[in-house]
Amino acid sequence: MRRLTRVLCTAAALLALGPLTLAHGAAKQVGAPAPIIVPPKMVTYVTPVYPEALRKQSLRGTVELELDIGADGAVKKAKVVASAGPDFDAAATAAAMKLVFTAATRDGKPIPVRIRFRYRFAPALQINRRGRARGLGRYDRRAWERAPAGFESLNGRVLERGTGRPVAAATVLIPALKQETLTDVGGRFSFGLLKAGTHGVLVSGAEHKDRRFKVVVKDGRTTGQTFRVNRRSYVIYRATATAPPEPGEMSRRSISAEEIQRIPGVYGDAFKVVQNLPGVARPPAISGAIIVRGSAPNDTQVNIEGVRVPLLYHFGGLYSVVNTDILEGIDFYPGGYAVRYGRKTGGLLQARLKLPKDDAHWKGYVEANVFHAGFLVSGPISDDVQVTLSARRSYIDAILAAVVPDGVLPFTLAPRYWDYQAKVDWRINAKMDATLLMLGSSDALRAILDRPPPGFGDANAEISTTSGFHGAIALLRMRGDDWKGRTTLGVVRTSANVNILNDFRIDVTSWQTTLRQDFVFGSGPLQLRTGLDVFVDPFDAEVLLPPQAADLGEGADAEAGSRLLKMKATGVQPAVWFDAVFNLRRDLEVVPGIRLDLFRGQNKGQTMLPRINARYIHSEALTLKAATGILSQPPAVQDVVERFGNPELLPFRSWETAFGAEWKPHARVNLDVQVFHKRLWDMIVPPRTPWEGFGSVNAGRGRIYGLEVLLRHPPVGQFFGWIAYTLMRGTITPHPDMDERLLDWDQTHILTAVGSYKLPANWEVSARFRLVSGNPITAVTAAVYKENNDNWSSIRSACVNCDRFPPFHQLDLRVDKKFIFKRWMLGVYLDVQNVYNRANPEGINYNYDYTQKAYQSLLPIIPSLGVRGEF
Amino acid sequence: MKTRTFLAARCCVVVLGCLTALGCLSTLGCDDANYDPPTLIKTMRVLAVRADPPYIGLAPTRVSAFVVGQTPGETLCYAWALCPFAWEEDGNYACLDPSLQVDLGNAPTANASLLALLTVLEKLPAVLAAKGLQPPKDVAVDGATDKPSDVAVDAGFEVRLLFQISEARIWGGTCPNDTTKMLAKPCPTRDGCMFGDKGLRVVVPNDKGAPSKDVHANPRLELLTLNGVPWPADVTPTVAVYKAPPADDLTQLNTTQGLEVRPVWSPGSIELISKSTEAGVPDTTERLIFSFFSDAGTFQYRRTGFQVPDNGYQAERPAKKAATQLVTLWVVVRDGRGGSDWTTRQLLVDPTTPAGRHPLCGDDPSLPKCDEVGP
Repeated sequence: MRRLTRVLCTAAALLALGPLTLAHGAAKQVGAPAPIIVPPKMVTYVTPVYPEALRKQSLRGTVELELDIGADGAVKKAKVVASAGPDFDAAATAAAMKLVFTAATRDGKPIPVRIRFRYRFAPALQINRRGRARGLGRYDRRAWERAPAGFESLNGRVLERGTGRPVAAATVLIPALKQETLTDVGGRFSFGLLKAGTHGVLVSGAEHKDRRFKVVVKDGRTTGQTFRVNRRSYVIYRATATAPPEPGEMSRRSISAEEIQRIPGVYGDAFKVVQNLPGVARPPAISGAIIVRGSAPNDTQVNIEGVRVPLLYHFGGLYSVVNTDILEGIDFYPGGYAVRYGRKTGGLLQARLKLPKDDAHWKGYVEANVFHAGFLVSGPISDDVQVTLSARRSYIDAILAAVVPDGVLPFTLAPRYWDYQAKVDWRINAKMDATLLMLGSSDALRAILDRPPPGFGDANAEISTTSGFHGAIALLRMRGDDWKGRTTLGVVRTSANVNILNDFRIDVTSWQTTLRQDFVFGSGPLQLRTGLDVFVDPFDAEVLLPPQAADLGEGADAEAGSRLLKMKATGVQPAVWFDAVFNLRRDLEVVPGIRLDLFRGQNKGQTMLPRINARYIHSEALTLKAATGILSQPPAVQDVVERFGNPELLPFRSWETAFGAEWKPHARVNLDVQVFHKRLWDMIVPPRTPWEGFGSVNAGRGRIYGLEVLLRHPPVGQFFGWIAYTLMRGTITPHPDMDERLLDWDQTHILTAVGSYKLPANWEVSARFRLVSGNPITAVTAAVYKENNDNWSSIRSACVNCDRFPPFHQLDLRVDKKFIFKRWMLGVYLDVQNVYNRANPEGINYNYDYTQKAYQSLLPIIPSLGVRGEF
Repeated sequence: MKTRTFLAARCCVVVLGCLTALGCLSTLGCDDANYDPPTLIKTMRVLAVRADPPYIGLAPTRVSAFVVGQTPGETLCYAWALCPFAWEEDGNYACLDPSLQVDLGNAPTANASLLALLTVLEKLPAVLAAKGLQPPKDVAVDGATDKPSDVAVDAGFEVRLLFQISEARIWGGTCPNDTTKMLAKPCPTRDGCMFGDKGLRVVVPNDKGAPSKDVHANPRLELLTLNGVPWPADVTPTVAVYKAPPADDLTQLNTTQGLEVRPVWSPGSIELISKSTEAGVPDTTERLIFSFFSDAGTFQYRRTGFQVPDNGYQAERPAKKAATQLVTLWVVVRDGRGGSDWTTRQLLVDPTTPAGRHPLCGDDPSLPKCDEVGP
């Protein structure tokens, strides 16, 4: 090529790799053998020609393209998604059409994919008199040559500052010698024979800032040079791939771990983040309760890779027990999910573990925030084995002990919690891999009162509570030519203890065991899926009753007079399921399925639950979907245990139907609209009158229906975010002769707007605004004086849940800043909840006889500071 | 009624809900309320209802109310009734059915009879059936007989004594005499009217004629002490206005401030309920609880227990810049099984009284000297 104005163009090969890596995770379905997606790799790079018309103006520009790569690795279509002007666009498009990749594969079969790709145009470098490159003036780019094997003059690696990640497809240029090369996937580069001496090197990448180095070439061989370059921005928004969702899922909404970390007010909590999605009601204050389409929090299943999580939060809502950074993301199903899941009538929240990366290297961080300090470290211990360790501990108890004098606070042990996770990923062979996750959590609080409340215990009165769990989850994934399977085993031991003034004590222990076996056979027009899902829940409790509750009279009960109650119960819940994926046409998919649940041990009954989902791809931008099916949910163990509950309780059921549409007119606009209707029957409700005992009965009927809208801007460019709106109504008729009433969790309007914007110099700002209807309340109309206890008992209106709290609205803001050092990064964030200090009513505080009332708000403006040192 | 397991279930739900979920954190919440304490009496209030004996047995039980704070010159109206089951429904708290309610009249005192109750219980199966309700699990009622004596009643059975006590002004000056109507709903207005219930055990001798362990007596408040010295009912001590310690004086936190009032009960007031059958679990006895009230000033605790019965009282400056103020204190004791007793005292708040001098000081050798500075 003649000595022409050099064009400094680099390929954004990382863009090709990154989104498909995410697609690998996003397409992977928890609870079923996940597809193995291998992204395409570049084979032939084509330099675009700098537009002649712009040369004199020395313009710079970056063109971002969306490439459709066929199953043969050839680029079928190149579409500009971020323009740099018509001239640059045309040059980039022309070059991109000539790029050649290896084909992407899904479970070994070539598939077409769509990736993002970027060309960066820069004016030619000029070589000044001193031989330093200001541009590439009259430098001719030579073909990329390698030195003969075994003879290298200069090689090394280009790594990213702060993270240590290799930089692929970066240009390494020695202007004085007129030589350049590109780094490979591992960031490695090498030059052929070089003249000995000191040379200036210029390193430049599409995602990285230019940087100059000096190297000394001695005796024709210099090795091991490492160049560290800064990213243009360390606030990384990864675009999601457009691989289709798994069959049989109508309303899955996925959020990546990176998005989770950026939403203000959730403190990076993977489970709380779903409270910002449509269909999910707002829980009180900092509670972590997940209220899906009007259902009670206990009606929604939360799993890690298909294994139920017994305790989601420390102290009921303070902070999640699982570090989000061991997760790839979460999949949330407000309804319409496949038959492989059951036993709950609300929604389903699946947390997916992070998958091992091919280019894994050791990394980690140490962090501290308002609540706790912790660390995470992850890396390979061999070519096939990677480990991740994480632990966190709260420190408010240590701070209080150090700062507050003895005797001032009633605590002897202030609230404290800790949690840990240890994960091992093992690639056994090309068709089998395994994961073992061990995790645990503990909460504790102990207070000594100077005098006991009237009628209670000893003078040295104590209130204490501890709760926690330890568990292990093992996964084995297998695949064959036309099938794949997955085995999941989870065992979790949970314990809880409450001691009130040595007069009342509860000790509860349970061992929850989950065993799943899932299979998928076939592909193309017909796919068969089946599996086994077993859940066993032994429950052991010992209760010491307060003396006031001891038997005060002669009774037929043989244990009359006893204060010590012991309860044991075991729920055994095996299930089998089967569905078939019919791809009737390229644009129509129908998935009928059926699930059989048995409830044994302490539970009773069985249910056969048909479901069907369908998707119709009307066009590239528009997909229609529908689902209908029946779900069931067994009563909780404590509802059926002999002394406290009703052993005759049966599972309650719901029939849910939903219709929806997904519209993606643009890469940066996704619109998802769904309408749903749910009918519930045999709901578990308290008995009609107080003297019928306190065991619940299957007498309730309910209806929930509504509209959900999600308008989303995926993480592309400088911004990501969404607007979620739900319009909903939920009612229940507890007993046939009672009036229909609103559900306790009914919130008619739920509007949430979330956004995050990337600023220069590694700053990022995020915001969340919520506007929600107030929760229903039942007005207190009178009070009756209970003379035995010298207390008042409120009498509530006959119209239950007919009033509402005032609407809730709140703004949360978050600012992040990253400081980049050579081998590590420091991240600092400030998260402010309730920026304008709105006193949202969360409850009503009455005076002693209910003649006066005032709204009670919970948390005011809360600033929270956090730091993280990451390597 | 399975009170034991019911209370246990409620305890489990409340305790677990409070300590392991968000409920506890909500106590950190803020509100705009600034209510008068429940110990302060400003309007008519029923502080206690006494039953002699404190159960329904073969002998008639006489009930009366301890009412304070009524508007001077106002006539009080009464309504009494006995009912097997009272519950909250349709925004009211009333007897399950009017046919099950035993009218006890409109006088300041009433007499409750087991015989009258038995006739009502005979109607219970039919009433429950008509309403489509299940009978209580611990009550076996033989509907096949019309002999009250054949009705078997579990000794743990508790009935409700419903009462409404009000000032005549809320009825236009004339007390109504329709008990059923007065007790069908809670008070028409909360100012000058109180509606309540009191649980009383039904006690029937067992097959051997021996009395049930529910046979017990009312506790008795023998006296009060003021700052450790017995306080006779006919003595009105003079006290100083309470002055709070400096805010930064942390050593004075959690200590009794101002005056200390301590109730003293007679021996035998704490009765044995049942002996324990398990090692390490103590016998079950009554637990006395004391409620404190006053028409001025502040008590440190609304209630105290038998383990630490003393309470702190802080006298406030007389209202409207009066020279002195006469304050009435009331103390009520309950034994948790329907038994109760009460006592009244008065003291004179005089801002000029030197602080530190014992309010009951005097020349008698048994009293503190007035020139000694006390606690």
